Amino acid sequence: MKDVPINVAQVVGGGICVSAADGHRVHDLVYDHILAGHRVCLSFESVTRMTTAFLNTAVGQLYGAFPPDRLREQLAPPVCADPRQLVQLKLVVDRAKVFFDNPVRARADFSQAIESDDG
Amino acid sequence: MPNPGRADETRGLAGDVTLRFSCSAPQASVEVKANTAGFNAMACLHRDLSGFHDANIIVEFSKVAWFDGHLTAALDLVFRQAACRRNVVRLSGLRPRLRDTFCKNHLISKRKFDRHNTVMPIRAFEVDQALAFSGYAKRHLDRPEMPNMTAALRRCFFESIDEIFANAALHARASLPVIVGGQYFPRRQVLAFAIVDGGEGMQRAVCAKLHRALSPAEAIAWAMEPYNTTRQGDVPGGLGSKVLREFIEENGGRITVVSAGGLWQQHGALVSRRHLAAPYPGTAVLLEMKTIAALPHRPVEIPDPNNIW
Repeated sequence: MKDVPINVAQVVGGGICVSAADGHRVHDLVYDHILAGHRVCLSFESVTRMTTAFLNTAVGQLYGAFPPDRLREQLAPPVCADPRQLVQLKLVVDRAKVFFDNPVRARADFSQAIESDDG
Repeated sequence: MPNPGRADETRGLAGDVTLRFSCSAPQASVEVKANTAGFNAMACLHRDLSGFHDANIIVEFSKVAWFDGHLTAALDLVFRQAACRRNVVRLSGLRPRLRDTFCKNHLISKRKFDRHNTVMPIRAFEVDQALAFSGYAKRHLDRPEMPNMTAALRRCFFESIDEIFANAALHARASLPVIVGGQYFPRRQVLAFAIVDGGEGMQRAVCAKLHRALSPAEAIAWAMEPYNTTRQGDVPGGLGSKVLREFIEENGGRITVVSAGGLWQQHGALVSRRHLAAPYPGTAVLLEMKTIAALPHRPVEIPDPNNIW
């Protein structure tokens, strides 16, 4: 399996990774390589700001296209990610697995949400 | 192109319609802040303005003694909505202090130099301008006047407001741009920021998602729960509110979300919600953070990079 490094900041054109549109650019690149059977290594070198909105599109939606086992095999451990970025990544990945496993689950959470303390 | 919603101070002319801001408040003098009363005043002004098309309207502010600077973004949306109906809105009766606030925050076209460097003037961004917005926030907020923040907290703050903008851009579905503005309050040691969109509001999207009728405040409460999202299709969501709420809980500050007729607020860890007297014409998210953040970051478990996917 061919290893392919992808530098997130280079794809986006800078270290500010905040928009969903930029996330789509990263996603499309990763998607193509995974489809081609390559192993992708995402590098977060020089990424200074990052949102979950960006990560949802960049990596979260991969879980709607590929099964988690395949992604675990074809995504190498991220490199140059600082602790906060690792926390964000893990949050988004775990959320994506749940979302695509049961996309209507949010509806079931509804009752609990609106029972919060009325002011 | 000049801002269509920007209102200039003026004197009344024959044929003008005059509306009074905060006319229903019993006090002779009111302070407009990020609370139910403040948004009631703006929502009622929108309701009153909604009856007019192609009109010259004067909004009279003589009762207003104070207006939180970051709320000018929320008021700007009310004026922009009125301008969409081809109204020309002008302001009158501004007390000197209020005029200063409106000038410095660029709500009105007359300008005043912000010598204390505490203002983030109103600016409108299209939904695809997340990068420009991020640069604007950095330029105006990452400066020496914002003291006592740890590097970690500072970064968390910037990412939080980027999350708010990203959410507004994703969900607003509005023809109007996203309006932002902010204010540093040195005495209160609070840094406040507002992101406002003129979209359809949360209630419609949440009710459509849940196939159930909810009040505006209930809809906001649902949307602010971690992992809840109205997004459907290929992209998961529902994490922006989680990041924000954890940040505010840690910081002890306050986040206020107003959408249509509902107001939802988290102060530290405490959550409350209210109904407004009239619908606000969009969604406003206000972030008020303490800059005396001696609070340590809550320790979090750092995931193993080998176990991310």
